Amino acid sequence: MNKTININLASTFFHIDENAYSVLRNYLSKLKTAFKNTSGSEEILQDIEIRIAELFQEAKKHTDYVINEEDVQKVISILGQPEDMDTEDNFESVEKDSLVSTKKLYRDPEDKYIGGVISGLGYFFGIDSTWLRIFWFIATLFSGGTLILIYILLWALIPLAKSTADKLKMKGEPVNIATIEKKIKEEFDEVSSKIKDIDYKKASNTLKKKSRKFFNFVEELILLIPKIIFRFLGITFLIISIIGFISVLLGWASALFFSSLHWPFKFYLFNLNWTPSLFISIAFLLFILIPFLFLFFLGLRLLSSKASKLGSTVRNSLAVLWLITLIGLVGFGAYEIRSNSVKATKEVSQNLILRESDTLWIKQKNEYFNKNEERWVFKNTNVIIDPENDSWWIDKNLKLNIETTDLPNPVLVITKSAHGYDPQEAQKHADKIQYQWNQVENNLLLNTQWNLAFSEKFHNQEVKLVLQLPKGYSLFIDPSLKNYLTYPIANDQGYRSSKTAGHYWVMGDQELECLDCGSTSKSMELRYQQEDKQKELHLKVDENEVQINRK
Amino acid sequence: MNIENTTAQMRKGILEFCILSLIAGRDLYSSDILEALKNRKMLVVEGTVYPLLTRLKNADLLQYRWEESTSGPPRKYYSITSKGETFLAELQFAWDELNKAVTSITKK
Repeated sequence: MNKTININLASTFFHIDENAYSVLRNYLSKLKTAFKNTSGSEEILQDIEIRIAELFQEAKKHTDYVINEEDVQKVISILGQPEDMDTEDNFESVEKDSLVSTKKLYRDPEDKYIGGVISGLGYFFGIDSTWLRIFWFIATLFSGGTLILIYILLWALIPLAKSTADKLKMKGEPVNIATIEKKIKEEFDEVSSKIKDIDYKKASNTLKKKSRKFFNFVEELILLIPKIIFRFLGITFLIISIIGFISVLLGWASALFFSSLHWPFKFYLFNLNWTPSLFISIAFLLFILIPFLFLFFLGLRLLSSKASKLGSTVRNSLAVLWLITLIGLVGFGAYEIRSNSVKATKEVSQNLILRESDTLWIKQKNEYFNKNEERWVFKNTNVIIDPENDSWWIDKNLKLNIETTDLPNPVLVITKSAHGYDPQEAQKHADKIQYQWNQVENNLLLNTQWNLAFSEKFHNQEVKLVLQLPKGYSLFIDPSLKNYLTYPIANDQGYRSSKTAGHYWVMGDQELECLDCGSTSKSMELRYQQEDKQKELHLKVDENEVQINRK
Repeated sequence: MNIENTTAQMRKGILEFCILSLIAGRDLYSSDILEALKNRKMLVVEGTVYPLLTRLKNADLLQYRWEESTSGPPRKYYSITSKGETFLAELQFAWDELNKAVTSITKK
């Protein structure tokens, strides 16, 4: 049983059986490749098709006649193989084009540097042997000898192409022709002698060809380098732009939709009810997204010149939009900077009621607002929203210093500062800072947070506390405050100010003197003073001696 | 070297001359050309002629027209152009010279 196929050759209709069809199709595609470098190839192929149709027409004995394989072979023998036709250019194109057929692995004795292994492999895989040699050479350098062993192994295993038939099989040329030409002996002789001829010519030209090939290769390589760089850049641009685009968009959307009310930007930039915040945030978004968009299309263009291009209208309007956002953001930034250009401070001094014999305990106030999880961290400052009191709590933005004073009583100096458009406005902002502290007996309770009404926004507000302590007064700094002791506090131990927390100190002439640092320092001192300051006991212990002084 | 190959090469060189001469006589369609060449043993395979015809046509030495056929696909009828005639005359002259030269050499 054999399937019949209907074909249309040069607008003539034929029945053809399956085998005949595949032979014919093979033949036509072989012709097509053979003529691909010839000018007017389409016309030539069309002429040949017409001739095939004519010959089929002659072979057709009746209207329902089915063209069989024999008919096709006959037509092919009349028209000839592409090798026998004048394809204008060289034989090389024919050689290359017949790689479709079955090939055998041989070593090539004519194109060899060592054993002809690579050229044989080149024929087998249809790769130019020069390329393969260079690849093999480079790979050998990195393989640590493995490829040398493989080469020797292949040398031993792959047979040498001795006869012409071997060479033909190696190049994969003749098998297709041979099956046909076996029937016509003369033609086979002609082809094989022709191939011999080619081989002869080729051998004489090998040296020339090799050097030519090498320079062609170098030229191609040089042309290839910018291509590779462009590809690489294109891919990088695509990845960066896609990731950037998605993350910026997601970040913006989540900020807008999930925390829009408490969006910290509103503290830093706008009052709560100020709608331009949305516009500014959109401008900000576009400002980032548009360059990513351009980068994306640039990447696409680098990868393929056929890739879709942004229309000039779209491109120009995007560029204009970007410029507008740029101007808007710069203007806004300038406005913000201008509106925070002047600094003002407000200083409040509060006397502490304390006897000299008492030790002042400085502690953190228990009321610590930490309920709301909506917080914004900026420059080590936390902003926490307190909807119940309509205020922002500012956390971790407090500085505490301890100094000596000539005044008779300990004094707490609270310095509030803020920036503004002009001194009056800055002063107003500074005044609005609410700081809470109190004294319970000899405990000084300091709030480590301060707050602002919702109506206030960021004006670089700061709160600085200075405890001024007269000589002879002692104090204990609770460890909970250690993070707020950021100014250098003069002390006889040379401690960093944060390390002064957790110790007892007495104010000396210039600096704090530690009362309980003995365990960590090499000497220990104890001072005892009577209430009327009439008598004083000074005990000093160090590595060498014990000193006791009495006054 | 083999005789078939050499004669094929010899034929190849004068094939264009033969084709132009055939067409100069009267308008012919491709199969007529093939027939005439094959009868005089100028051709081994027909495929050789098609690239030549196309080349001659592209060089404006030939032109063609389509004609319907009762028995098969439409036929291409070739005719010679004036440029082709000049070219043919030149070829004729060259051939005569060559023929003379070859005869005088080989008839020693």
